[in-house]
Formats: sequence, structure tokens, C-alpha cells
Amino acid sequence: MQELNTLEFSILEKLSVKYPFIKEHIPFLKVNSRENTGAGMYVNLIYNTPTDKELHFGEQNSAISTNEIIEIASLKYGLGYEVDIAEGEVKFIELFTYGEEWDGIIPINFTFTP
Amino acid sequence: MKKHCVKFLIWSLALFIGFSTEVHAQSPAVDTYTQYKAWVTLKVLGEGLPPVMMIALGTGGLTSSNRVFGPQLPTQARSISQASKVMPSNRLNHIFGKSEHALESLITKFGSQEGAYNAVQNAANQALKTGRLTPNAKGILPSGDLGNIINVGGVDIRLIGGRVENGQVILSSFSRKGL
Repeated sequence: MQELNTLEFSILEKLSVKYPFIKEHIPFLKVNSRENTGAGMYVNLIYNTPTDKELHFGEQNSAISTNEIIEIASLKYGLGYEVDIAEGEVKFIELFTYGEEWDGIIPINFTFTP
Repeated sequence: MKKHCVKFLIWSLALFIGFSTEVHAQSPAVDTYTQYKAWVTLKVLGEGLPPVMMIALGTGGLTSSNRVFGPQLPTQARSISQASKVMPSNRLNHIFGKSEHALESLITKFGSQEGAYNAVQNAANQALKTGRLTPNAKGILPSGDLGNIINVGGVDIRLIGGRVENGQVILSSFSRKGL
């Protein structure tokens, strides 16, 4: 179990503006695994919630995104993303390229553009 | 020495065949893969010949310019690369390797991941032509709950991102979740 990296944290923060319920979940989300596919990456999340904490759920089963592009130096067209919600829990982040191959390396410098 | 002479005779014959292949390679009917196989065969069988004979045969020279078929290798490599561009395996694994995308019914309907991918590709291109996709000014297609939903042989599919280039859709990912 790992901590969210800067990009993963930024994605969830961005989403919480449009989907406020996510804000409450972020402190309890950890990374269970990262799967680099060469065409993107799946960041599988897991909760580390105290038993006395009850989280509120907004969406039940959906996929949400702000539809911004994550620009990084190694990709001409950048990365897109969406977050999978199942039974009210944030399950995974799907990062995907726009037709390019990707080594899965997330640089320190990235920007979100509309 | 006698052993080397026999080998040299065999190699002379192989070299003649090799040159014939190269000459015919000017015709589009002979592909580079045939030449590459001939070169590999020469190279493998050439083990044990004196270096001077290998250089003469064009398989063991110190530089690529000495080789009869060696220069064809990069062309072959390019062909393989072009083929993989048509059906990108990484993309297939990315899309179909995630069970949450719930694409089993689509694979069953089209017989394989490749068949399903091609069907979605064709349906997406058709949807683009008929104005049913919503790319932004940069040609980027939406994801999440704004992802375009298309019908692929009776199965609804939600496109996850994607990009429009030269009137064609470059697929990023797709799913049956979030319909």
C-alpha cells in the first residue's frame, strides 16, 4: 500500500470541485497497485478508513472526469483520465494516452489544460 | 581443408540463390521478409567457415556494406512496426485487460479482442462521419460521464477519450461501464 503521488492527488483534487463528495474520501485513499499498460496506467485504490469514520457517497456506479488533458514532456498529446466509482467508492484512476506509447513514468512537472 | 571446400561449394550455390532473390526484389512480388530469411539462413550456416569465405559470401563482413542481405533487416523491422501499429497490442491489453470495462459480451459477439476492437474502431469512424461524436477544438474526445456512447453491432459502448486525426478516430479506451 502506497501513498498517492502528486499527479494522483491532483486528479482527485480537481474532481472534487465538480464532485464534492470525493474531497472527504481523499485522506483515506491509498494506492493498492499501479498497472502500466504501455497505452496508459491503472492506479488501483484502496481505503484505509478508521472504523468509526463514515464516508458519504455521491455517485454510486459511474466513471467521472474533468476532461482536462495532463500535459507531460514525453507525450505529444498528453494523457487523459477518468476515475471509476463503484458502490460509492473510488476504485481506480484510468490514465490513457491519445494513441501514443507511454513508459508509465510520471514526471514531477505536469500541467492540466482544458 | 576438404571440409571447407565442400562448404564453400554449398555456399556458392546459396550465394547464387541469394543474389537471384535480391535481383528479383526489385519486383514488388518479392517481399523483404524472404530476403531476410535467406540472409539469416546464410548467417547461421556460415558458422565454421573461415572468415575470408564469410566475407566473400557477404554474411560475415566487418561492416554492413559487405553483407548481401544484411541491409534488408531494417526494412523488415519497419514492416513489423507498421503491422503492430495497425493492431496495437498494448492498447488491446489496456482496454480488454481491465475486467471493470465489462467487455466480455462484445468479445463474444465479435469472436476475439481484435475483432471487437476493429468493430468499435469502425463504429467510431462511422459515428464521426455522421456527426455523433463530440471532439473539442483540438480533436480530443471526452471521457467520464461525457464519453460518447456508440452502438457497436447492437452493443452500447462508451468511448473513453480518443482523438480525431484526418477524419479517423484514434481510440484511447472504451468500456461498457457508465452507460
